[in-house]
Amino acid sequence: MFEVNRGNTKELRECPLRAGEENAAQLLDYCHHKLAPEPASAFERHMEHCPACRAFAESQMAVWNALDEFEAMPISEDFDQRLFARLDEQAAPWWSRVWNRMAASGPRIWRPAIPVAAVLLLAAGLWIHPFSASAPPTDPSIAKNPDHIDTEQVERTLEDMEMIRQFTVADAPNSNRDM
Amino acid sequence: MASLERDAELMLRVRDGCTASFAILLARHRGPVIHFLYRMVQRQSVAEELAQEVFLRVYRSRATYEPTAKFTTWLFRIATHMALNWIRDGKYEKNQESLDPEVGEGLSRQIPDREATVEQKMIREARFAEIRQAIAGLPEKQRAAVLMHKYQEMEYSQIARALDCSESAVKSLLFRAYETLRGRLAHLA
Repeated sequence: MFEVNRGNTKELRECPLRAGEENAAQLLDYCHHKLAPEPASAFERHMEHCPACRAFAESQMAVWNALDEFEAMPISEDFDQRLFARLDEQAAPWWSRVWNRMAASGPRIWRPAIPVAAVLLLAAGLWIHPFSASAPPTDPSIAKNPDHIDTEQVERTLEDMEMIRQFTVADAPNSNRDM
Repeated sequence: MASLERDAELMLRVRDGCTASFAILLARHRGPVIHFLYRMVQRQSVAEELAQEVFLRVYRSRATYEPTAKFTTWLFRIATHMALNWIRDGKYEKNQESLDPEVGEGLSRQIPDREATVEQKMIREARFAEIRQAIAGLPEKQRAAVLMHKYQEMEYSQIARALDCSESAVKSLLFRAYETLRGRLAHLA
């Protein structure tokens, strides 16, 4: 883009606006005072006889200065506090994070969780039930002699039946009397 | 160079478990990151929320951090990604509709000139709104490039790394962005 003339000063070989966007970026650097003194002088000499570059530089400098007015807003005073609270939260175990989040959100998040928990408990109960029903007896003596249970049960049932029969017989005259 | 060494050194200490070094890094870069994000998304509450995510990511990445690039380049790369994702999620357009109250509030806070007349204040507010809209009207990558170039004074190579593109692509982005801004703002001189 530059060539050296007889006076050992750099001159522009061609107009930067016609030399592609990348070369024109140097013109931007000139406008933003980011160019080294030597190429900056070369641009200034070029602009003396190039109205297009002169107009470009003037409007670009105006934009550059206008952008200074786009000031940022003040930062919230509790920004760091909030950030460190989040970092602490992340450092805690997962169950603690879930618990804290639920506690912080109040009943809004608890209410829908109640029927969900009930359904889950029910499902768990149904899943466990068949296994417990088919599970082998835990008493080793019973496990060894299943017939023993039947005999005992039969005896107990017969005793119960006998007791009921005696009650029935004893109640019979009273019932007749009531009638 | 000293800045690079200082930030990288602090980050390496964070990697070794020093939370105090993270607090120093936060104090050094909190402002530039939030201001950059504010100019990107043009809403202070969103900018702060995104900045929180940026610093959380920095902290989470501490174990794998290697000082291969300048710390600020890495930091603004994360910030740019956060902002671009937020904009691309379509949240930017939704927020533009509800932008004015917050901007109005911010404007009155950031120009606390008691000497200025009502007319002068109105002119300033109008200029501010015009600049804000001109920046908002830029395509998101051009916007990010301009903000890093103008306000963070980052070099082309740093912007290129932050935007994940070549240096010549950055020059092209900036040239087109400033061309658009000249068309909209040159009269403000």
